[in-house]
Amino acid sequence: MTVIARVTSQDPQLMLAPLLSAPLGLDVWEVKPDHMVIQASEAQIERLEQMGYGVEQLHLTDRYLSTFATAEATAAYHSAEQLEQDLRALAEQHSDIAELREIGRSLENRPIWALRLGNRHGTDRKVLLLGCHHAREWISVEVPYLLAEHLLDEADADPVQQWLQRGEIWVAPMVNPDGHEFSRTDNRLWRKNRRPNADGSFGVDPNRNYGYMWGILNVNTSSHVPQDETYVGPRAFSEPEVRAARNLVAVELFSGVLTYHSYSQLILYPWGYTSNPMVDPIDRGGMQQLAEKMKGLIHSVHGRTYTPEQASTLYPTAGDTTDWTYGEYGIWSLTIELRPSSQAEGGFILPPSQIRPTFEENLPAAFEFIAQTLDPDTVETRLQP
Amino acid sequence: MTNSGVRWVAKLTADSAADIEALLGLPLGLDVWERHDDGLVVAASEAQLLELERRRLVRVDRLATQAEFEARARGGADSGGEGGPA
Repeated sequence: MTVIARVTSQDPQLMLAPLLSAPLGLDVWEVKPDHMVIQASEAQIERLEQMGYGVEQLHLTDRYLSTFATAEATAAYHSAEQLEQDLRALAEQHSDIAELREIGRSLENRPIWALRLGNRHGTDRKVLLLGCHHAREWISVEVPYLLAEHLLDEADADPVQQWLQRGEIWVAPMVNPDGHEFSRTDNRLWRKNRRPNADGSFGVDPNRNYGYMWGILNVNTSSHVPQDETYVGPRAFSEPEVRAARNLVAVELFSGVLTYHSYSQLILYPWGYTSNPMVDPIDRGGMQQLAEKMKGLIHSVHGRTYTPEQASTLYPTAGDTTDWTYGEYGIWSLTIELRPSSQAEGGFILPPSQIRPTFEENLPAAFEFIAQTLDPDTVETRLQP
Repeated sequence: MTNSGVRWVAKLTADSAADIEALLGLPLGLDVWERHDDGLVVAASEAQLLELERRRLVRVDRLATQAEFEARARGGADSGGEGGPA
């Protein structure tokens, strides 16, 4: 196994230049006045350290090459850094109706951003769109981001103009920036955040860490084993990324929450923790009807079918976002599982060419969700038994 | 010799939906990607799949190693095109 490493010297007597001609068999990639970048074996690294050089490992070569080979595909999706730049630009271009808020920090101290859209403060009509609880689900960043961009582009025309005059739409496209970054640099199929666990493993599943019915299941899809992909964490809201979302919801008291995931093309409504349906007939019927309406709207764009179903029908999940937002606050809450429909189409690794059509087909469905949860006339209508 | 550290993308098939329900209820550490009436698509280690087979819980169809799956998915990155159903 070889690594890519940066070699430095703090000792003025120990020059870097002689390494270029020394019989060490180094594969030198870059030479700068204060450092060199090399590809080297573990034995070569050890030898350089014995000679007194500073050696900082940058990448495992295989991983670097696989990442490099897909750089074009990777570039089509936002990194955490690029997302911040683009959200800042959106907020600056539309400063009269958009405001960028840091709602919290990740474990590795990355900011978690939410864009607030709306003409006025103090309204009680608010909708929240979330993305990327799970690191590998890159398309779940792009769809809410593109929705925010579209809403701002359409801010002077109805229905968006009315929505933003009467209420607020919040968009937080990347709840889990640490995991997302790790999925870009180290493991494309990484799911969780980057919590160092007590057993030496890494990661808590942010979408199992919310505090409604947290931890009541111990199954494949809601696990108490730290190394598992769906590890629920040591306690509810143990993760700063989840606390950031919790605090936002608790302060703003949204009337609707739409959270994007991938994949399978599904529209999921509560509950996830039990196969029992929601007890309240208005909420149950309303959310089911809304999901059915959204299915039709999605299908009308590119012919894709997103199947509405209770979340537990997919598999049991305790501690997920929508169980908490609905269970704790009664907020109408849906989870959208975006493209593709199966692993045969790439699963979590959705080709960049699918970003735009996935957004396009989800646009009218998101509008319907916003209209029904934000618009007062619709809200009044939906409360009729 | 079997390499129990290899991770697979695998289809697990059972005789009934109830068997799948029961499988999901076990703390096996499977990374569940898809659920269908008669089966699941999961990511799992060779050791996990061997245990499923040993206990005769489901039929296991190893679709690809996770590394192969990633390479294949990336290879198809430019062939998606727009829009319509696949």
